[in-house]
Amino acid sequence: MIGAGAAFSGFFIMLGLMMAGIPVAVSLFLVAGLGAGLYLGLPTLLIFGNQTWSMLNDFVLTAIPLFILLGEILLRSGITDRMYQALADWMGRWPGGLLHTNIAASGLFSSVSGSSVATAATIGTVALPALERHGYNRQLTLGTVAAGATLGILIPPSINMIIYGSMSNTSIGQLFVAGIVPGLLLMALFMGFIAIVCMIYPHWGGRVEEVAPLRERLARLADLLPPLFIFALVMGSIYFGWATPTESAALGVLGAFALALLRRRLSIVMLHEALLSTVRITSMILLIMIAASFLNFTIGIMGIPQTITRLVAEIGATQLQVLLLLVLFYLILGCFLETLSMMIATIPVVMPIVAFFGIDPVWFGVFLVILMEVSLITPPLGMNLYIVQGVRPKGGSIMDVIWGSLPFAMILLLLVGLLIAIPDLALWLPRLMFG
Amino acid sequence: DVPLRVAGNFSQNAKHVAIEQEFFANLAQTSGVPVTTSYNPMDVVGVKAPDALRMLRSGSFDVMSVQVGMASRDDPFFEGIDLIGVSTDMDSLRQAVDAYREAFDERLQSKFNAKVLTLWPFGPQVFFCNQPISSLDDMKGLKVRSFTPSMSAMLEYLGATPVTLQFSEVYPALQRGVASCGVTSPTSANSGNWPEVTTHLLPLSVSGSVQGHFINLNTWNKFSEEQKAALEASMKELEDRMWDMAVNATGDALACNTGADDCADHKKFGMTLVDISDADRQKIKEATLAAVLPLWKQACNAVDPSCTATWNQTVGAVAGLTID
Amino acid sequence: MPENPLSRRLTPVARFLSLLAGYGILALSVLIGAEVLLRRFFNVSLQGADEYGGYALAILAAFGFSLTLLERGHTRIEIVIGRLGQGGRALLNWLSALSMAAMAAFAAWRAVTTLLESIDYGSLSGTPLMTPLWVPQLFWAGGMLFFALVAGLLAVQASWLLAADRRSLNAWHGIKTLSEEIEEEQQTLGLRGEVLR
Ligand code: NA
Ligand code: NA
Repeated sequence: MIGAGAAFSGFFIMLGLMMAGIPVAVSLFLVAGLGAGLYLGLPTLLIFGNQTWSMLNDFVLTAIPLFILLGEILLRSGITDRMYQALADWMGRWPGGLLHTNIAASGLFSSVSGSSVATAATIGTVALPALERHGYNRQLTLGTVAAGATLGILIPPSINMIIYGSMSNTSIGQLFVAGIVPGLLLMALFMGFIAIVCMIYPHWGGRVEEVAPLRERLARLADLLPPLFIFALVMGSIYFGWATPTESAALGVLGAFALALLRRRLSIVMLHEALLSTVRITSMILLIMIAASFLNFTIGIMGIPQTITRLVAEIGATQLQVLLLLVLFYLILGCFLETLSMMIATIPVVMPIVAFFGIDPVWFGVFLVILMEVSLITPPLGMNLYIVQGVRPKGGSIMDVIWGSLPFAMILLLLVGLLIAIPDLALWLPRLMFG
Repeated sequence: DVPLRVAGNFSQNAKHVAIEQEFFANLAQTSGVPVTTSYNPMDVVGVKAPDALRMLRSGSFDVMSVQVGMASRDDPFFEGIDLIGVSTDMDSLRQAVDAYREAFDERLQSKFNAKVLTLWPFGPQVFFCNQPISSLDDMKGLKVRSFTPSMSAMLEYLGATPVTLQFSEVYPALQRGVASCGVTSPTSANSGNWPEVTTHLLPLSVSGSVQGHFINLNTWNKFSEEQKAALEASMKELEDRMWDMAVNATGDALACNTGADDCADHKKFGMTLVDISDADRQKIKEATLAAVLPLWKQACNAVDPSCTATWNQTVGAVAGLTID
Repeated sequence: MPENPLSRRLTPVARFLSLLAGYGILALSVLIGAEVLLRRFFNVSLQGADEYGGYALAILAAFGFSLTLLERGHTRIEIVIGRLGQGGRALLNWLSALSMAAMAAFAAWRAVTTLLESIDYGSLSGTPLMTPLWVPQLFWAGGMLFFALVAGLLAVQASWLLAADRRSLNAWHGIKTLSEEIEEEQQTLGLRGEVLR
């Protein structure tokens, strides 16, 4: 057990390394190694190999390359491009145009994916080339993808909710249902924000394209069918009990493959490019995840999450004050921990506080997941930021993604406020369905 | 003071973790041995169950709560303590564990530089299905979640289709019908809310899911003989508490899962309790003899040819079974 | 600025490994598709699609790290480094290459140790397939070794360039610039053909 002072020094060292341009994964790794060397001794470090293997050898994570590959094939066969064209025909003149489609597509995809990482990778790969080509404001576009993808862990299914439910002894069925209304509300808030901003700055919302004749627009609606087929395949195989979420990702890949064949867009060159792209993006993400899990291991043994949680508990306050403290706590912790590790590390110590203050555990699950969404799009460690950066077609500074995501992080915090003010946002539907 | 870094059980097993946490916090007082312990549930520090023995050997932790079935990845010998279908109630399991303990400890010391402190079960591993069943015969054609080679062998013998799923995927799989049945203890099922997505509970136990607390030998040898004796006495109390819980908490969890009136300490659900027939018990024994033991013999003797002989003299002797 | 001659020689090997890993993911999709259909219509389970999925991911990571490194694809933050002069940038880029090599070497060392442990114990996957663990771990550890080799060579080159040629150091080991990214993207777009309307 080490003090809060040493913990915060470690945090600032990590931040310093990242700012000095040391690769993000290496910065996490070095700080973990430093902490382990100073406080835990050499044997602790030696387990790195076994731990890395166990972390990587994980079928649930396999959904990441599968969903990326799905997106790459759809993208490179021109299917998503045509979908965007078809949508642009109808939504192009709304304030914010395709950015709305982007949020809606993220929401739809979230209903088949349990992870924000997969959602960010897929929607990012599918949407960004089209959006950038249509002249949308770069930062707003990137922010929309990074933030829209956070819906992946709020709208069911959600891996985070499953883990929270089993660790906190809460009904996973009720948690899933509880995420639906806040998820839809969040989509509405995101779209409302986009509409308002694009009414104020019309040129941010992309070029207003000349409207095609009605017949042509109707004909192009057929271009919406291939992606709908993939969504139906992925969603249907889960909801009819044919496949687990990860398996459904593989079905999605096969479906996308079949569509590309049908459209005669499949060539060896195209396939190789899609495969290489999938490997590149996945390994970029996984190197950070390996380092994050190692960091989680060392700071977990040092008792840092518990130290911080105990500080929160000892202050002793009203329910509202505790909730606000928890918001602050997770915002800080989210700076240097990956979301799943952060949840796993803190739930055992936070749940007693939640019980002590009489907070409904189903409601708290939704509250926690929304805070995880904030963490996904806030620097320095915000996984969605890095993924969106990774799949950006034209590259550029990661600061674009960070600035673009900032207003959406604010909206997420607004949703947290609404949830505190009106707990029934989360609790009404589960009550209706489970009595 | 000797510092003891402890990796505990999985945090979703809240009751076990609470007991461990309290035990290790008070260990210095109760045993009179000067130790300072730091305790973390294994998943909280991101440790995966199959890595436990390697972590003990390398000294990453001084004491670890180990799931024997998972840790058997690195040596199938350990799995012999609780093979599928050998001990079908907690009394016979305790006899088997006591019979195997010495050989188990010897093996652990020589191969993994660690020593047994406690050995105890989570509780009977029983069937939870999302459709009506009345006996083991109804498992024919059903998809049942399996997580070990022995369990797959048994399920195939019963005519069921073993399906491999990660633990986090079992709940949605049962809900959506990817799998029809899962096998776990009534207490774990209750805390994991399985009764929400399953309807029929067949309380026929196929194993006890044996766990243990093991200590790194280098750490152990820092203590004097008296201190070792004092620590062992304290660990014995912990072990007894865990056995008590396996027996008593299981009864209550069964009652609560099936909505019985005497449900007290678990969440109340309304599953249908299926009666166990003698034919079912017979069938499990058959499956063990025909499928489970031969498979284990092959794996275990490959590592150590004297494996089955040791088993026959210990667990086999108290269970009345022999591997040829 | 000419292409980094060291990267040019190493990239074909890294590309080949990454392609193998990519085909692994594709094969996995087919395996899972078969598993789902067999389970649904014939009540048969291949038992192990999930296990192979885990191996495929671990091997993909190990095989992909080196290509991503050679293409300077591992995430770095440029807020500070982008504002420095040639000398400051050279120093930080050198440190970046050095620390990446240190991490890669440590990871490869521990991966090989993990493999040797699995061989030593004769470890079998604790799954119905009872796969000897050393088989998938051999590919994984091999990939990690190649990653360490690439990172090590790049670090040696960066060290040499720090003394000899800082401009080349910043060009070959720096954070990718916008124009470099666009150039690569245009090559990809060319392959897409019809996509550009
Ligand atoms: Na989701
Ligand atoms: Na963050």
